[in-house]
Amino acid sequence: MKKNMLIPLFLFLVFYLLSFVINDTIRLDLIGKNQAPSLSHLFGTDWLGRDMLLRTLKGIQLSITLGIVTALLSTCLGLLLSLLATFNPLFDKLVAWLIDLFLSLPHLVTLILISFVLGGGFKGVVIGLMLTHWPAITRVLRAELLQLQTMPYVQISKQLGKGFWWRARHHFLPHLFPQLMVGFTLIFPHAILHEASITFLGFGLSAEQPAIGIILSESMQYLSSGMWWLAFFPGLTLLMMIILFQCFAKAFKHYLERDRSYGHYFNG
Amino acid sequence: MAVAIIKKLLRLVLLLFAVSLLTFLLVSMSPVDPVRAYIGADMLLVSPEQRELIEAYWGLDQPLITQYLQWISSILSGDFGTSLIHRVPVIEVIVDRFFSSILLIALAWFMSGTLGVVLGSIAAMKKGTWIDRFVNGYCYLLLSTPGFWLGLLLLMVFSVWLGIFPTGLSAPIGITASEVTFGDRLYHAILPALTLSIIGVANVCLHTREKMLDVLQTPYILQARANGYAGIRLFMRHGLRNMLLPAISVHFASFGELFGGAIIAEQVFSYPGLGQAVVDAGLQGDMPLFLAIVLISALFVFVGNWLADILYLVIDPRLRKGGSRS
Amino acid sequence: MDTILTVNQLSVFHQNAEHYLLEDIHFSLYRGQVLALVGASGSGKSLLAQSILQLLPDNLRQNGDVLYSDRQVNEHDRGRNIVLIPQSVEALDPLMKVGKQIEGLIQAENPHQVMLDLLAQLGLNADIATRYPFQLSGGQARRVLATIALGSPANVVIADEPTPGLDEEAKYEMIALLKEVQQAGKAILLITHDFDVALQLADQVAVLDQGEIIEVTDVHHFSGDGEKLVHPLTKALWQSLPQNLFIKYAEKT
Repeated sequence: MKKNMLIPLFLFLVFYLLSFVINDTIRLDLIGKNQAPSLSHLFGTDWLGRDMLLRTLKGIQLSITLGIVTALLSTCLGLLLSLLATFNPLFDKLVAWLIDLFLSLPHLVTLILISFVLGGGFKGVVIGLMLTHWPAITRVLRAELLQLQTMPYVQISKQLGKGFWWRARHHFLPHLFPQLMVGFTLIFPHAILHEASITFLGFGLSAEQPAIGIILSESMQYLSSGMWWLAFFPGLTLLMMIILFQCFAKAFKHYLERDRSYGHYFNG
Repeated sequence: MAVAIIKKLLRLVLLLFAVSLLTFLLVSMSPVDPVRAYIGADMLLVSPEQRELIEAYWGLDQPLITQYLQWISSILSGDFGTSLIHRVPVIEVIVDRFFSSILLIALAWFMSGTLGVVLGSIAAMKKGTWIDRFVNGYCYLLLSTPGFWLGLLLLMVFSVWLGIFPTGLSAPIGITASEVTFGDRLYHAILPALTLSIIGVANVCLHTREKMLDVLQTPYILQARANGYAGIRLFMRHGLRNMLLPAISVHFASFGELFGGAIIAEQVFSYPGLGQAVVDAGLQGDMPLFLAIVLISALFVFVGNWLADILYLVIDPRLRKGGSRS
Repeated sequence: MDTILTVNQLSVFHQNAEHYLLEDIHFSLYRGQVLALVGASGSGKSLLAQSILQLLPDNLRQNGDVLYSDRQVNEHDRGRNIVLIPQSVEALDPLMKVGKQIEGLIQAENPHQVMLDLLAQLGLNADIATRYPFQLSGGQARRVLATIALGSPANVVIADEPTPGLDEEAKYEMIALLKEVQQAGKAILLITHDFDVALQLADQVAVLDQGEIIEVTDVHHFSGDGEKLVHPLTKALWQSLPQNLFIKYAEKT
């Protein structure tokens, strides 16, 4: 079981770190432009003669970094809001209502809206992704906390006069930790796909950034002239990275759940 | 039952108002200058006095909340304002594109729904076999696929290489709108709809499979098996009717995902629907159009969720006849 | 006498564990008779009905013989030769009308008419047929469950815990219904934790403990102080019945 989890993670990290090691600046080479994939350029070259493999790796690096940052931020936001919801019933209502509010627009429309308001760019994408991915995990955490609050040991702490933050730190956080990890692994691929989509539409990262969404939206102009490799390989690489991560996430969730299945004895 | 439906409706209408207010405030705070967006390149020719006149004409000098109230009340009376980039009333732009988008979304909804339920059912009935693993793998593959990339691949294969389908627009170029037949529209909608469906299958398929597996665990299925029902007869007699309602309900609730997918598909295939319009409006700062489409998308999600909820009330005999769902 | 269902050396075990859930079960059910299998909860008796019908969950395995009229039971016997009497209303499809569910088992020229006759026979109105399971009262539900056994052509009826948590009145109603099933000429394998129910219905009683049958005996042997019973546990079981406790108490004082 551990093997199922570690091999995809290892491969994923290798590809990610590889893009840091290759610090070769991407050179323009107008003589070698528009080349189909060959041994010297595995992914071919674009209309400026840039090596598509290098561009793709740089794009993947940016995507993953963005994905990690935004997934982390969303998870934290979810945790904060769900803790806030347990604080008192009024906050709980408010958080529930906020969740409904954010789910009442299509994901992508919310993203476009936020990017539009913030004027796009790196900041717009990060904030947009953070603000669109928290509702699902907040729901899970809120339900978990509601149940946790009725547990005898939490009740006893409360009666012993332990404050809210003491209970949050000693009872809630350790219990929620696995949920947070799973939540993170579920948000991450979503965030990456949404970042690529919104950048592709023109609301995300600016055209100077080496993002996969930019590469693919540029490639659209060259598709009719048969330069398929401009779109095919970058997308495929992104797909592969996400599948690797999904494999890891699935095995990881399985692994945590197996551990937690013993917990049912205590949860009754 | 009627009370429950109305209560639900009321709650959702309130939510819709909140969305409209929030959207309006957010858009008003954006750095996009509506006057500049309207005038475009001639901005340099506009004097500050003229600019103030324009702002006063649009009511931009009023407090935000007044602006909102004016906007929402004119929307309620059917006036969505004038599109800054198309220079025609927003309602005209929307009506024209609404039909294109609905055609696309409806096609995708039916295709992905049918295929998803069929595949999910087969996978559940054959749980643990290679068929199940294949369907599961296919779904997880699709969940990891960037939608626009899949669209680009289909575009390359079917339009560029094979030349079977057109590369864009919802109608052939060079004929007037009145000459466009339904067949033309359908033909142009097929590739974007196919992209949307292929992606959309994963969600409904996994849900169907899960639900079907739950159903297969129930005492009434054990009883039906003990009564001699198996395989396709068991599925048709007990499986389908118990799984279908939750599956369709989930599919209705995925209207939001579908709308998001449509934005991307329309962009890839240059298909002139609401999705393409919202992207253009956003990129070029056409606020009236942008706001209107955001509201329509919220309405769209709202209708989907509402249908998903009342479907049970209308169809499930336990709720229809005043019982409770266990 | 003529045996109709024979179970021989039947064992049920988890696919990847040595542990047996049922071990070396053996008994014979005679045509038209009632055999009660009595065991406490956790004795593995709930798996017995499923293993006789070859319907164990995926992760369980079975070996040994289950014979219907001297040949191995297979999936074609389900509903035709052996029928499972539903335990509760949960065993009815919540989204299908009751009448249609009963008709599904009747193999006659006109299943609808047969179904209506059966409802009438058990004192139920014809409009019950058009109701959904959730609309049945407890008493109506029990009768509908009995019609499933009566309507099926099967000669062997397995009643798996037919009186789960019922109050006394409902319990005796169910016992009366099962007697009606027996009078229709069907043999019943009654699986229950309720010793009282077993004694009222059965011709023979088998006692199950920790997955094994410790004694199969004639119901008449449960009398007096239990001197005709062989196994100490069976004796203890008999003596622990409330009415016997009272006798013992009365004798002592």
